Amino acid sequence: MKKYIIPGILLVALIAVGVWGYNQQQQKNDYHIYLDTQFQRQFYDLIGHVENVQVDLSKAMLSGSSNDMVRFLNNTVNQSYLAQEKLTQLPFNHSTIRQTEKFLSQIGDYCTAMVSKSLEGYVPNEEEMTTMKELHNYANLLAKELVEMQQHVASGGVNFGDLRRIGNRDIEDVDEHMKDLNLINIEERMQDYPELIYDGPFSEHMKDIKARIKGEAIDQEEALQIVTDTFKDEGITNPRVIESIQNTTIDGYYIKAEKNGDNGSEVSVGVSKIGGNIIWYLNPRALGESKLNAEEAVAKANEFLEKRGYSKMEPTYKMAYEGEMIINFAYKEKDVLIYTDLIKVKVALDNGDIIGMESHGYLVNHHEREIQEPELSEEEAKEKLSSRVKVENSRLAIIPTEGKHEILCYEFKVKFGQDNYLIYIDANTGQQKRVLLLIEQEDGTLVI
Amino acid sequence: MRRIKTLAIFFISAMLFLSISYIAIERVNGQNLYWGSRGDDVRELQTKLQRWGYYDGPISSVYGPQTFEAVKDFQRANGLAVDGVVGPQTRAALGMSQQRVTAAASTGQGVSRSDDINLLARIIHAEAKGEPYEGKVAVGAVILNRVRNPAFPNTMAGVIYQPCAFEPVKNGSINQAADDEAYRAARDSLNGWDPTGGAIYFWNPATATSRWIWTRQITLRIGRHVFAH
Repeated sequence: MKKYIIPGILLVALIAVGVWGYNQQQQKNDYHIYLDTQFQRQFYDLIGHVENVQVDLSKAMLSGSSNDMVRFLNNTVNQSYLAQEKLTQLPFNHSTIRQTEKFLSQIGDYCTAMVSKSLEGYVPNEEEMTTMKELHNYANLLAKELVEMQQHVASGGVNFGDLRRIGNRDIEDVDEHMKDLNLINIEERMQDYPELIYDGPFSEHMKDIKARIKGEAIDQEEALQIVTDTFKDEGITNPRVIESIQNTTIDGYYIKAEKNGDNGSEVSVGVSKIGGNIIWYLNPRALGESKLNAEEAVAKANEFLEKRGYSKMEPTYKMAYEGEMIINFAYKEKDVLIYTDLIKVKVALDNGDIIGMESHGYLVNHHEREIQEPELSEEEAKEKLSSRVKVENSRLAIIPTEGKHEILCYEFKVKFGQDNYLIYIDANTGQQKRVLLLIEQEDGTLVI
Repeated sequence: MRRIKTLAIFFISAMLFLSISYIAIERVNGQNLYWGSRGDDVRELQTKLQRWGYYDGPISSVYGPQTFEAVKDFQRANGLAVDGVVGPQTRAALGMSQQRVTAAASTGQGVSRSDDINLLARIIHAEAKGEPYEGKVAVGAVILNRVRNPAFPNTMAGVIYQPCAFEPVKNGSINQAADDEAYRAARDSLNGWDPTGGAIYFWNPATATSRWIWTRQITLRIGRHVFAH
């Protein structure tokens, strides 16, 4: 009897493991199917949205009035962003679908730009109609290819759950699967849709923007000297070049240095190769108890900028976080505030050290401007505002459009209900260009 | 048999207790001070914690990671539930005034970006642990550059949770709480600091398997990561 005890226990254990394993397997299948069906749902949604893009765009083109056109263009915008969202959440490898993703974003963005133009009473010209026609053709093509792929999916040839697993494992494998899926084919045909240049954030011209800042080209030694000079008062020592920053809007040198009294924590700086300007600066030291108030911090930041030759900078808003404050400065010329020429300075609230700087906006946009006299007077612009708001103050400002063009506007700070807003009225056409909500907090103002 | 019975009773009561305390926490959460809270109450909290030596950060009126740790220490030392949330019990133990009735919030108060910052801080923490500070800001900047790029999703969550994009999302390490430095780096990148010069890709050459990724235009290296677009 005794000799059966151990085999008996082992047998029970084996059965237990078997049951456990079976349950695990069931559970895994369950999750796998769930995942696959979720992905399938997204895929079917994707096809639906792409088809709608195509239909709505064609309706927009044949619309007689600009009102109808705006309505259909708006639908196109919605549908293309929904399609883009669905596509990007499917487990396809990024390198095989990036052109298609881009196409969907751009078609939405292009139509948004057309909507704003149409709302201002503009009728699309021949060229823009041709572009829309071409976009429509590509949307049509994409829809067709996707429907073909759908048949493949429906016949069980594709399991999205598997695709996700493979996608995370091996790129070569994925390429094989993508060929199966017809995706490579789609991606190739999407390569040559027209380059779109318009006033929007996804426009093709955005990636060709080069820094406007002028100056002498500097070498590494000079860059180190600039860091030493700029942060003389901050006690920065031993700067050294780590890397060259290239292929960017502002090429530069990536420099690290030490700072006295920071217990060996290092600071880092980007210095532009042209002109030797500080592109960014970061000092991640620990922060002590806050002793400075907002006015003192702003004064410290102002002093820092003035010493480095950035005169005529006006603080526009500030935000305090745990022990530090970030202050935005915009360039001011002839009483016009130029928001594009932006520098951010970060001040430690324990002793007033400058612990951060970011001047990408200033370096890219700053140049000599011929600011024209506005066609509208301030009073005329004010009449364009809603009668429901109470104007608190106003001034002239240059703001960037979506596509980074500059427009001269009247900036009105208004009160509506409990909240303050900034409203920008084009100083030449009187159109409302932008509305910002100010979220006033104890620690500063956040602009949304 | 007796032992099994006692064990069973113990387990059942433990489960019951856990679920009750869980429900209790859920119930009061709405009006409490927690990570992300702001205002006078937080200032008072920080002052008290500092006076008693639990907290050595700035008195900033913002409930951040340092305050969170200090509250947990305080709760641990005083035998309260250690959850980092200042509820009625912790409030009483701190000697702070009980909940004031706040006036109804005015309409039109905009959304805060605090959730975005939590998500961004967690991906930075998971992707760039042990990297230099600017390397962390750079990872945050890549995520934000992707949001602004047409070939990627148009929301931060969309970018971070895109399938096959980030290793920490696949292995779940994105769910770990971010440390102080990751939080700070997330804030800097949200505020526009971008050491990468507009990069939309980054990878670790020691572990990257894709040949395609090397066809991208490299902008610079920071620590172990290569940045490119």
